[in-house]
Amino acid sequence: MSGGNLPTVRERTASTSGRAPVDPEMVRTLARIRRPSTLTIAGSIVVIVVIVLSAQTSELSVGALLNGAPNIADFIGRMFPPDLGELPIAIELMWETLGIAITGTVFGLVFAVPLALLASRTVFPNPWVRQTTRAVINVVRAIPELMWALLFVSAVGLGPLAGTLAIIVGTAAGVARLFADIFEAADMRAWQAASATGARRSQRIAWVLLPQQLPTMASYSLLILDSNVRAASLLGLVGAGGIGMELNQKLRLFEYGQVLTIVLVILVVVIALDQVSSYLRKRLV
Amino acid sequence: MSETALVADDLYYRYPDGTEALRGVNLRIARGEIVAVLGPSGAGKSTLFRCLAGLDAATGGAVMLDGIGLASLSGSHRRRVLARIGLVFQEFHLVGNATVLSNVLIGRLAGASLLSLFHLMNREDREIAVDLVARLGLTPQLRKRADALSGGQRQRVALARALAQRPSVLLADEPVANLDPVLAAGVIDDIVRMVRAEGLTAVLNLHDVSLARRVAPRLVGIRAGRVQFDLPTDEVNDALLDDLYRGDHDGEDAYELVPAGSDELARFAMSKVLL
Repeated sequence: MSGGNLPTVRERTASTSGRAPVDPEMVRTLARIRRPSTLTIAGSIVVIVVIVLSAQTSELSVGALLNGAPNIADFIGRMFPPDLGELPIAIELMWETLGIAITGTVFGLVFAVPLALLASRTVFPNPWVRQTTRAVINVVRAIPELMWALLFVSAVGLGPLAGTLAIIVGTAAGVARLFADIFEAADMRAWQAASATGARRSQRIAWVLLPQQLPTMASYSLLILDSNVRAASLLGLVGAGGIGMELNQKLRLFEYGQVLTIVLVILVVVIALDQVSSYLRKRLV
Repeated sequence: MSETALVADDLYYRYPDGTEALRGVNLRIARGEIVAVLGPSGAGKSTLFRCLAGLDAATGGAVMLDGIGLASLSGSHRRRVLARIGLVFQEFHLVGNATVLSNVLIGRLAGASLLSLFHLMNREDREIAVDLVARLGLTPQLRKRADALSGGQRQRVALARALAQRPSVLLADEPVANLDPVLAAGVIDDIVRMVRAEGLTAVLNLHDVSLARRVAPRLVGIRAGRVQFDLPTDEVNDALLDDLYRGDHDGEDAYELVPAGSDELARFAMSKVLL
């Protein structure tokens, strides 16, 4: 390593000070920390290439957007004034949309928590349980909610039930993954102390893990509700109930004034919900 | 044998990376005895605590509680035997956003019914918890969140949780290292008072020699994974203590016992550089 008759790091340190020898491995590790590794550089190049290629494939172009600007203005122009005759229907359907989102979120969470527990290494160290659960979660998550909605429409027919089921499945899988990561990142010291008292795993979950993580879980659940309201607004596109069905219909009939009324109702509800949930989240954490 | 509560028989502990934290520790602790374990940082005190507590399995030798070897146990039998050892940790290990009462009740879970999953505990369990909280002067804090308490109060909650198990042995790993000296003395006094009142056997890891001298009639000095002395407190003189802590201040021991895994090493090296 050190050519010729130069002393090694270990010898040098040991001879100059009376202290414990410095491991040469440590010196090399420190040197490695200072400059970016080849891997970091190669990784950065790959990331840049991926971004450029994606932009090309998605036909991202400022020119096209600028050329299209008049069309956008025209489209928005045709929406005005909003047709308030649509308001009662829009409100009723928004109510239904909220119902789908809330029911879907609540039941989704009910399924998500046990799945998440099964999928966390810290709770179930058995890799077989964890990996099976994770595999199921990942497959379900890989299917978009709109696909689930289509599936449920063909199973239970048009209407809000299909939408609710789609939200439940999507939430269960998405949140299970999220909560599993939260559980794995949890501070396990109290868990270990409870384990040493002789408490069973189920008791440790009920008395340590869930109480500890409840604020975080509640905060994420509010975010999920937010996103589910938006998802439920779109599910109507495939006939799974909610305000999306009406929106789609009016768009096809070129009733732009009514479209604007619907969009405004969605906007008001989404913004209001966002405000409420961010207020609650601030108080939670 | 009947008088012996806890035995460490030729205990070895080797980390997966080859670091030997314990190299043949022998201890016999009689029922009702209070022993303080002293030693420089990195001497193996915490590893000894974890092995005695059954948190880590010794890689050699045996730990016996009332004549039962911890290593041979498994499943619910293991849980029941380990529940007879109460633990107090340096950093309390409480559920911060749960109440004092709830934290103490965790100590009663081992014998509780399925209803405990819904936080329903029977009257006897609740009485035991409330009584312990009262004896540690925490009744006004009963319904407060644990993380709203001071360090000294938190450690008393942790003590109450351990005592709620109705253990026969109490092990504490640097129970007051996180507290300022005045609070530390108060907490140690409470620990010893409760241990005596309940007739428990106690092993306390302490780095504060004067505190250890004050509360424990027997001192065990550990250095580099070996028992250096094991004597009645009044026979432990300054020469023995100087020898025990020799070189501790320039961190020599920390060097010796640093784990050799590259990740740990890098973190260790960085901490030295940054400090």
